[in-house]
Amino acid sequence: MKKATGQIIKTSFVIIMVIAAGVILFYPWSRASDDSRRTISFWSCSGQKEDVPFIVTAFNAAQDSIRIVSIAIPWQEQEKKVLTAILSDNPPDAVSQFIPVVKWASRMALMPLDKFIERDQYDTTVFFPALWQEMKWQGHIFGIPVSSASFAFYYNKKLFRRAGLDPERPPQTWAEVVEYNKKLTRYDKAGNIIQIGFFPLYKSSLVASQNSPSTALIIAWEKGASFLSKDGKTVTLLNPPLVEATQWILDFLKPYPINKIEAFAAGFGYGDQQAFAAEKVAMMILPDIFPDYLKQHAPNVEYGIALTPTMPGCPIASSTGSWWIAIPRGSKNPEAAWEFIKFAASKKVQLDARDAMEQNLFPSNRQATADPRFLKDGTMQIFVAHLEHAQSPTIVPMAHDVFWREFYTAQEQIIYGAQSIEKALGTAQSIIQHELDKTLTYDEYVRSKMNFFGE
Amino acid sequence: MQKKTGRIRKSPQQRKQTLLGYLFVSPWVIGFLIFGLYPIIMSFYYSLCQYDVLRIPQFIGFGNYKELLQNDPYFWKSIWNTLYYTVIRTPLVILGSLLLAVLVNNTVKGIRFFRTIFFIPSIITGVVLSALWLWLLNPQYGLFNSILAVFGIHGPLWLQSPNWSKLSIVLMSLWSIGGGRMLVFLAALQGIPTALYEVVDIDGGGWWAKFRHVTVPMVSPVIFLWTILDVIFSFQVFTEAYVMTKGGPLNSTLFYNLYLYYKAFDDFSMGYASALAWLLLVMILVITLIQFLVGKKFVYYEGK
Repeated sequence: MKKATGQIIKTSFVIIMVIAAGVILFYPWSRASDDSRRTISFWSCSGQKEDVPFIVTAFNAAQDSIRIVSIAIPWQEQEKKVLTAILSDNPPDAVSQFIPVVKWASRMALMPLDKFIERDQYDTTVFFPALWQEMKWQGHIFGIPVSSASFAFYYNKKLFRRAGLDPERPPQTWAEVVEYNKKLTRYDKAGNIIQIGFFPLYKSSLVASQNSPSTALIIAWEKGASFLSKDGKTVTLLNPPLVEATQWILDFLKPYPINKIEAFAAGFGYGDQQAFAAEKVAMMILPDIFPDYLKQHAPNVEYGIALTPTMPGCPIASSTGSWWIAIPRGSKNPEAAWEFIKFAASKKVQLDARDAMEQNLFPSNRQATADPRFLKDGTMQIFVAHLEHAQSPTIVPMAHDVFWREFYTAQEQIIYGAQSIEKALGTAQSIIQHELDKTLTYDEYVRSKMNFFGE
Repeated sequence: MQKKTGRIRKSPQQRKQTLLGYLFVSPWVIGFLIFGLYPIIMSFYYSLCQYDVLRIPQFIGFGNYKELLQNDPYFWKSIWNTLYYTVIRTPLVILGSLLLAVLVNNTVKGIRFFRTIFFIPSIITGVVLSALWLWLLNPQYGLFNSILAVFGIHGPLWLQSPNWSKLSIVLMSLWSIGGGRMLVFLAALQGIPTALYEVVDIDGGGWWAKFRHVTVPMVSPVIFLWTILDVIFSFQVFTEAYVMTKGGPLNSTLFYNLYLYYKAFDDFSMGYASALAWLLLVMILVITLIQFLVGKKFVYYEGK
């Protein structure tokens, strides 16, 4: 018995030693030591074609004192991984993300950048206002936008011609959209919708696969809607512009029974099943990367790009989204990370990045978008105009996800005819307000216990 | 052995053996303490707090529980959705698996091939399955409505209809009745002595008598086991709704775990989500206890 036990222990010991020796021998120890520059880490979201983003390669080529090692993290994992890293006091030196800055800043996951901006007299007016607005929280700046998204009104020229419409004259007002829609909507023999002129996006599951902003929100913004009070404490969803915008959608969809509309929309998917790519919807608000998307999935679609229609007497409105770089709390090389951020947001690098990549993100820097190198294609001006008028989809920063869940729940209740506009928006408003109150109370408590800003 | 003290003294060798035993189970024990027990205890503590992972927790007593029970419409909505799903799904999948097992318990030539065929669907993972069923259930182009249309029936909207969405997900879960559950039933069926069936033959009973009076009682422990497991699994339904409907339309597929997920990983309301998780534990515990009490009357254990 004793002998057997001894043998087990001996055998286990030998196995462990062999494995350890193997690890020591074959681990690539020498990899990091062939460069004398200071190394900093940068976590980006993959989603670009290259594993190493262009800005990193360009930065490393241009620098002789700092070298960036970048790690691409799948975007679904990014939030969890970075948060875990920050919590365990071992964050990357810089991180890039596209979800609301405030969601991270308010949780004190990011370092305020004010002192860098002041010291370097960094010009922050070069960024589009909607993007810059997103970087702020509690009077501090927490990130620098490096790229963005802009939207425009796409329409299908072939379907326009088939319906007897002028393919060079897209609708300019929402009233015209209604008119065009009548000509562009087609049914099969059984009375099912097989093509529609315009499809207002009213539920989140649709938006996810269609990559478009909510139609009600765009119209409400045109009408001057504002959903959050100046002090950030009061939410108003039940406000006249949004009520009117929602009413417009209800009226627009009135000729179509909800089951027909839903059956039709259930056929929207990804790739060439995307509603516009599949030529099921003739007019749609879509992002600036969509021409690339069409080239890849539906190269035969003949389309035009125009300004989003407006309500009488109202300016155009649009949505955006920003990709920012920030320095996580606990970064060991904030100075070097700041150098990298400035580099990535500069005009020249943004233009170079755009030329170098296949799937283009829109520059955040207005100097870059005003450059002839960028405007070589006439449609780009339309996207720039939209971005100038864009608002951030981060509407209630401290209750961002609840806001959007409730917003779409309310829209859905209304479109399904389950609730009146007032009831649905009112309910949503009170739920968002409740969540916001809770978050603000918690925030106050935390700030009384933790001195984060060094105030 | 010293009878006087009443204690068994271990020889040094035995003690070494015991020590070695502990040594061998220690990886699991340490793993459980750190990654199992500690998070469980902490999650209970967090359920009494307002907490968002990154900042310090604020103790608020039973505030989260109070809000859930008194002031959260989605809490009750999600319980209703989950119960609806559980009550309809559980008997269907168990009956389906049992019947399938009876079917493949035959001695027909090539039965192994059929068993494999029935088993194959269950190895597909949830997300892929959901993507597939999204199209099967498509109201305009889907397989289901196309077949119904042949018979002149205008099919429902399935996932797009608040009335049908939960049933659609139940229907989808029938996809895997040929999986592990069927195999366990099959093993139980093969353990039934053929003599019992012969007795029914002698008494002049048909297939129904065999099924009702021999098969069902003999596999009743397995049916009981799966009732408990399937209720627990049903309570944890998540992937289908997360991938296909996001809880819609009109929150008709907002299941308990989906709501918990939104609270924890979208809103970072970890305290609130922890409270949800603990209430789920209590609910499942109570239901399982009831099942054990009721089960005693119906389950036949051969050994007893």
